[in-house]
Amino acid sequence: MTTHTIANTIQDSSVSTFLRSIDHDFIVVFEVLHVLGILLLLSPLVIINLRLLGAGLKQKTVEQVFEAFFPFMLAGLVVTVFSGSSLFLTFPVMYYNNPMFLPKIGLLLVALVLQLTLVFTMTRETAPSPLFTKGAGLCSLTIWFGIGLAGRAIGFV
Amino acid sequence: MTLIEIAQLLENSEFGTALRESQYMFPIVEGFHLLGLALSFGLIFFIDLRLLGLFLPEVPISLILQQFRACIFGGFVATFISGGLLFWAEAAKMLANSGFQLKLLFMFLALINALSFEFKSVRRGSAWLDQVLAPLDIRIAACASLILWGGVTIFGRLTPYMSG
Repeated sequence: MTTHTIANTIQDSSVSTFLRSIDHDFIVVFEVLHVLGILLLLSPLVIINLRLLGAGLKQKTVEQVFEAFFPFMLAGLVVTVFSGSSLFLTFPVMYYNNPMFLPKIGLLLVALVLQLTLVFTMTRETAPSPLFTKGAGLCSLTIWFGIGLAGRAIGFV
Repeated sequence: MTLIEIAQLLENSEFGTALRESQYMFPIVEGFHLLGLALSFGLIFFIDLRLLGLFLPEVPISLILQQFRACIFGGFVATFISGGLLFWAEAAKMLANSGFQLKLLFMFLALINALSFEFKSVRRGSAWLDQVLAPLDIRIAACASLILWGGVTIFGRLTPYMSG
């Protein structure tokens, strides 16, 4: 089964058919939720990665900053993934054929794995090397913002 | 010359047309418009929660304001410049869009609220800045900021779906 057949099978599924049958105004709600979710996810990431870079909430340790912002990040991720999946399920074949869609999802998976590995490594080590910490923070922020750029481009390419 | 005529001139200018029809520039500018918000409204969201005493109450308000000011300012610069460019490309269409009009209204009110917050905090001096709970007028301004910037974001995203 090729990935294209999978996209077609999803398109014909009852969930997908149902989403297409409901009022389009309702689908727009998912678009709004997607943006609000992205902001709720990205801003804590900015703050956490700024802290890794040695800026921002300097009176707190990386671990404390991560703990304080994790619930917001998680809520943002849940809202973004839920609304994003709903949008995808409405027109799976269209999104699958969009040249920016798969790179975006790929980057998202890389970012999630990298970010979690990073934070766990940083918080476990008592004295992580400053160069490594800064490089990691910068790298992570770049990937997260790259996902945002790729995602926004989906609507235009 | 009416406002709509100026908007049409902008939209039909060489730069406006080139940006609107470009394959890569338009989506990239759209991307920066969104990502700028993650720095500006995104960080303001957490500062407002702190002003309301709902988040990180142990961090002094003066510190959190000072540590994120440059980032928020940078975010706003990115959002406003990219937003200005996007407006240039579709000025007449945007002016006639009710979603965009509402967004402008919310933005105007949010900016007035931000300015009044700055004046209030300067007038009060620095004594309140290290309290756990900000004074009532500051908390009202924080609530207003959350609602108004939220409205700007929501109507911004709704703009392409509201044609009239």
